[in-house]
Amino acid sequence: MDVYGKGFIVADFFTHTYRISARADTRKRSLADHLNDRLTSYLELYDTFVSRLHKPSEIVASYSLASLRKDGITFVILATEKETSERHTYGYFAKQFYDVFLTVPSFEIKGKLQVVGKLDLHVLLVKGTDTFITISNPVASPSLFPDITFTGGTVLVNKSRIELFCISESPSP
Amino acid sequence: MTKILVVDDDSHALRLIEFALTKAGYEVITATRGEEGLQKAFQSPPHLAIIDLMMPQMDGYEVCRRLRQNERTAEIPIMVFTARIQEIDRQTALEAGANEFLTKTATPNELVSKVKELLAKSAPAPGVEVTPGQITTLFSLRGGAGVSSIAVNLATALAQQPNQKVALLDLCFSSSSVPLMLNVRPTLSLVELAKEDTTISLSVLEKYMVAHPSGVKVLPLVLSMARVAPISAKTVESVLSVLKNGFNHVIVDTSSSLDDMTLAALTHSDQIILVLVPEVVSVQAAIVTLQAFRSLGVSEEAIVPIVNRTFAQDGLSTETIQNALKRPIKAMIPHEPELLIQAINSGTPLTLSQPATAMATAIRKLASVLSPS
Ligand SMILES: Nc1ncnc2c1ncn2[C@@H]1O[C@H](COP(=O)(O)OP(=O)(O)OP(=O)(O)O)[C@@H](O)[C@H]1O
Ligand SMILES: [Mg+2]
Repeated sequence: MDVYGKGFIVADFFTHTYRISARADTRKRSLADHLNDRLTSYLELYDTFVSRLHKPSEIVASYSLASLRKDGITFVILATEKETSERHTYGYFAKQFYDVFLTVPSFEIKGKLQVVGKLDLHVLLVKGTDTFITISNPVASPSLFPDITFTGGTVLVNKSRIELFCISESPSP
Repeated sequence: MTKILVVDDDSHALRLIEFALTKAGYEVITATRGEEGLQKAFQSPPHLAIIDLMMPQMDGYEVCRRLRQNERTAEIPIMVFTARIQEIDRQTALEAGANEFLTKTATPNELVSKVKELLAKSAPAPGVEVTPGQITTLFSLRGGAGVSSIAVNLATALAQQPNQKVALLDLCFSSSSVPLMLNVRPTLSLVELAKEDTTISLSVLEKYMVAHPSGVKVLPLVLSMARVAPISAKTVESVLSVLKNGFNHVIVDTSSSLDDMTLAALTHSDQIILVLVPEVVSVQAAIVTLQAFRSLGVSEEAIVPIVNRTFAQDGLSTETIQNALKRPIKAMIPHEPELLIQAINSGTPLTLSQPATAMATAIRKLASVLSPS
């Protein structure tokens, strides 16, 4: 829900040293679809506000137009849970949530991973074609500033940045 | 007509907010730049300001700070309305002087009702007299009784009640634990204030206070031990009398000695919470304290003795303590072995982080005794 954004969504993009709050164009497709589109390596951003990680609320620079290299993104936090991939999943399999904990450069992230059908980590992390994996109810903390937490409805994590990926043995209730 | 200033660089959002507020009967002034917003606010102060955070050149935090620094706008309620959703943004906004933090996930209707709420909270209806708040000082002549822990948790518990403005005054040089326990990072303190040659008013004091996300405003005593300077009883008295008129509750954390500051607080309080630990030395200290209170002229009804079980062992029974003190114990704070330390380390008081614990429940009960609603 973003009545103020007119089809643009505001999200927090994290590289391993910066927090970038910016608007992305989601009029035609979701942010996840933009990020997973391998044909373009940059993401266009509007009204971009840059903060350094150790003072993540202080705005050090702002520009109305920016371009962000997708492979430089560690993860993206969104306020809502809806803004995930548009791809259809048919209701043949039960959807279940697993607790996950992962580390990426400079951050640790906790959250819930939605799995349709049987959990197969290999498919999820290695064989799957998406560059970004979607995790809901995330709590991300910079490893150097663990008192600071970033939360949201969804986080899109760059798979190539994941160092450690832990998952609960059985789905969470 | 109630005038609201809206500052947002996004003209689409601005129009939407303006439409919703106008429909609700407010007069709306708009600005698309921080500087422009400030100019309009200083020229003719609005009843309330709605400020976006992410704006080019001057961001919303800075707009809040400057509104607070100017005499004419120092007291106006500020609502930050932003697409930034993180807790750290909320904290920074409150520290910059905002009264309310609302994310742009709220609909225009929700925004309007928040505006109504904030206006109702900040402006006493005309003709209604402002009743002065209550000063509650916590004290123990024996150190380590949990005075600071209870003060911090009591203040946040009171701030959870509807429409309660709560100030927390730190008067301990020894451990400056209040800012630490609340994880606030003050930039000014009472020591700096005492050095200024200004008459103390509410708007002056607000600059020296730092807001905690719970709504509690903290006035720290000193920023670091390198800056220690004596504070006179007179300074404490005038700070208390000003705070009393701006807040419903003023909670005072004291050190375990009867120094000038503590004496000033004790003799100007509406209530004194005398904190005891269920062991002989602490009870003895409480008896001595009660004698001191008598000679200071503290009224009997003002004294609220409570027992805090800082240790796990059984300790003296409440009955034994009551007999020794010759007065009833008004509250028992149970022992909290782990979560209290965790709460202190994380800088979030137990009454917020672990509201279901027995200790948090006991403190809420104590709060409801102080502020029966
Ligand atoms: N109910 C309780 N259960 C367990 N531990 C407690 C309890 N109350 C306080 N403590 C612990 O006792 C210690 C002293 O608490 P605190 O600093 O609040 O006391 P104080 O009276 O303010 O001390 P000081 O004299 O240094 O100002 C802290 O480690 C605190 O965590
Ligand atoms: Mg203390």
